[in-house]
Amino acid sequence: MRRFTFLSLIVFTLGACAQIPQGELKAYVDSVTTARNQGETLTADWQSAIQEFRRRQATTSPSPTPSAGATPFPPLVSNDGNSPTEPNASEVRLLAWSAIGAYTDVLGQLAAGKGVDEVKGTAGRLFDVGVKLSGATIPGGGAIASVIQSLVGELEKARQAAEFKEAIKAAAPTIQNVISKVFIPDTVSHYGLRTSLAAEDHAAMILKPDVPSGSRALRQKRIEDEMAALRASLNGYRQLLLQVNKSIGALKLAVDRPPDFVLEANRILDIAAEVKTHWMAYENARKEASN
Amino acid sequence: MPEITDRPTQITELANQAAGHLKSLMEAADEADKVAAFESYRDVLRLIGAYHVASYEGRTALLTGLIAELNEVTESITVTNPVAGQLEQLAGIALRARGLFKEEKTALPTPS
Repeated sequence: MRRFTFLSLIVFTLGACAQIPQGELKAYVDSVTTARNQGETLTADWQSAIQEFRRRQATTSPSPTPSAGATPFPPLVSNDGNSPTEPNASEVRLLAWSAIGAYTDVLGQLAAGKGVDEVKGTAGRLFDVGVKLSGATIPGGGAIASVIQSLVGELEKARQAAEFKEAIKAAAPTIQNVISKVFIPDTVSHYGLRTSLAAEDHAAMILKPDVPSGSRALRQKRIEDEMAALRASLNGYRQLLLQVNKSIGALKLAVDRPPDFVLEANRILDIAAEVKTHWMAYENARKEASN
Repeated sequence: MPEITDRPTQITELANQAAGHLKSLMEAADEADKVAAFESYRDVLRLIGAYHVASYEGRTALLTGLIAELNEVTESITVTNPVAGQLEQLAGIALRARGLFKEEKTALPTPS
């Protein structure tokens, strides 16, 4: 019985380890999935907008301005976008979503307990090997193997929970920076570029006296509708991005939160009951063998 | 001082005001001046567009650094316990050694 008390102590120690907050993780994974889909679609639209912008720049000779070459809006960096050594800005956005996706997948694997069964299987096989090597027959050997497997499984879960906590703490600020310093400001640039292209098309209609005024108004209305749709889409995307930031923030708080006593107590009791069942099976087998 | 993320909006608003005035001029101008007014309007729009392109591309370097940071974290996460794999191999070796030992024992010449 003393041995079982010792095992219970181990179980309680394991139980005290942090658990993976499944609810917060699901909210984060869902928000990333939705925002990524929208982000990839909008990146494709940005790509086509910038191609159109460069095509227009290349085909139209600029009209003389009072200070040719000097722009009233200096660019953040000198970048003509044509240098082969420069990374393609759109591709880097897609890479960022891939990196966030890969990170999120790994979190999902940890939360799903991938590897726990593998470790339990290894522990069981090692026990078998030990018994085979000794050449002895151990009464209740199967029950002991189960006790070992339960404990090793809980150890692995605790290791994964600790790994999960570290992964969240290390990456949450980076993901929040990607969103607040790049993706959200990108939406302003995207809308700004599209607006400048649309405004040019809209105004160009005035220069077409051959187009009937009704048809001209219809074309202008179509441009306005397209811009309204893009505006709604970009605003929706911004909300999704804010949701990702909020959900990873909630995840970070959850891994730091002290465990819920009632929940943890129930979980520990479940583990203890499992270990106790296996231990009793072993004790009974041992007693039967000695009689 | 406004936040840096508000700057593009402020600049765009200012440029849009200028573009708005040019568009009004264009609409009021006679046919001959319309083209010149349109070209000026278009130039301002192109500058606004170029500003947004530069602004978008200017954030790429920062994003590249953040991707590298995130990949580093992802690569450092150990999903499966590395010890399990090593123990599995050890168990295999131990069983093989046992088999070899048995074979060797049975192959020993019996003392006469």
